[in-house]
Amino acid sequence: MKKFRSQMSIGIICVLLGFMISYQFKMISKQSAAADTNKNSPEIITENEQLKKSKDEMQKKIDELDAKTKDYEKAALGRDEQSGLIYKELEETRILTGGTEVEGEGMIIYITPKSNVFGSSPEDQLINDTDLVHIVNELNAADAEAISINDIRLTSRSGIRNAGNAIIINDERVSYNKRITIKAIGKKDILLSAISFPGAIPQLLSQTCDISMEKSNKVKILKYNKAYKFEFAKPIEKK
Amino acid sequence: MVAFVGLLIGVILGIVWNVDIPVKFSPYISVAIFACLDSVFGALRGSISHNFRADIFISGFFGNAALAVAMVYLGDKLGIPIYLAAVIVFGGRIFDNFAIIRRLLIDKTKSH
Repeated sequence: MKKFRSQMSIGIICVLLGFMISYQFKMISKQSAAADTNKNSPEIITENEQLKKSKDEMQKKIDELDAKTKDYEKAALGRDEQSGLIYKELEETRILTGGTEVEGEGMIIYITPKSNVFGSSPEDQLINDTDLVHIVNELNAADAEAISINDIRLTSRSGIRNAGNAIIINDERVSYNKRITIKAIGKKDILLSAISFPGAIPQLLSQTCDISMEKSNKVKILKYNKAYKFEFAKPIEKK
Repeated sequence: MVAFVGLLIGVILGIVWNVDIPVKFSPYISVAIFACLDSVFGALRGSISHNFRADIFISGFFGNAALAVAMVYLGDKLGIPIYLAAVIVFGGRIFDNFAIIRRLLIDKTKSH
C-alpha cells in the first residue's frame, strides 16, 4: 500500500513537471512568434521603397511648378514699382516660412553618436528630441535666420519629438543613433559663441555623442516642402 | 515506469490544455521548472543508490519550487537578479547528481 502511494505521488509530480515544461515551451515559442511579426517584413520594405520613389517624383513636380511661379513673378516684377515692392516682401515672407532655399554665412553642428564598445545595444537612444529642441532654441536665441536638421527645414510650425524608433521632424524621420547635422544661417560668430557657451549643449548629449562645430561663409539650407494650411487661425480685421 | 507515463500525460496536458497563465509569471515558471528538475535528478540518484524516499522527494519538489519562486519574486522587488543564485545552485546540483548517477550506473554494469 505504501509503495503504491509513493508511486502515485511520483506519477502526479511527473504530470505536473511535464505540464509545466510543455506549457513554458508553448509560451516561449508564442512570444518569439509575436516578436517576429513586429519586425520589418519584406513587404513593408518594398512599400517603403515605392513610396520613396513616388516622393522623389513629386518633388520633381514641385520644383517644376516652383520654377513656373518664379517666372510669373519675374514677369510681374518688371511692370511697375509697386509690384517690385510686393515681390520683395514676398521673398522675405518666403524666407521666414521656409518656402525658398537660402544661403549665407552661418555654422554647422555635427552630432556623432559615440560607438560604445561596452555592450549596450544599438537600439539605445543616444540623441534625444529634447536635446535637439534645446540646441535649436539656443540657435534661435542667437538670431539664427534659418535652421535645418539633416536638411529638414525648421519653420515656425515644426515640431521635434520622439516617435517610435526615430525622431520625427516635419513628418520626416531622423535616426537617433546616426550622425545628425544641424545647419544655421546667421551671424556666425554670434552663433558659435552661443553654442560654445557652457550649457548650450546638454551635458548628457556631450557624453554620449561627439559634437563638432564649424563656422562657414556659405551654408545652404533647403526649403520646406509642404504647403501651410490655416484651418483655425484667421486674421483679425482692425477697424 | 510510472514516472514516464506521468511525464507523457503532463506534456500532452500542457500542449492540449489552453489554461491562461499571465505572461508575467513566465520567469517564475522557468525557475520552478529548474527547481523541479533538480528534485527529479535527486530522486533518480536516490532510486539508483537504493535510498529513495518518496516523502523527501515530494517535499523537495514543492519546497524547492516554492523557494525558487519566492527568490525570483524577492529579486524582482529588490532589483537584484537573485534568481541567478537559484539557477546556478540548481544547475550545479543537477550536474553533481548526474555525475553520481553516471558513476553508479557504470559501476553497476562493470560488476555484472
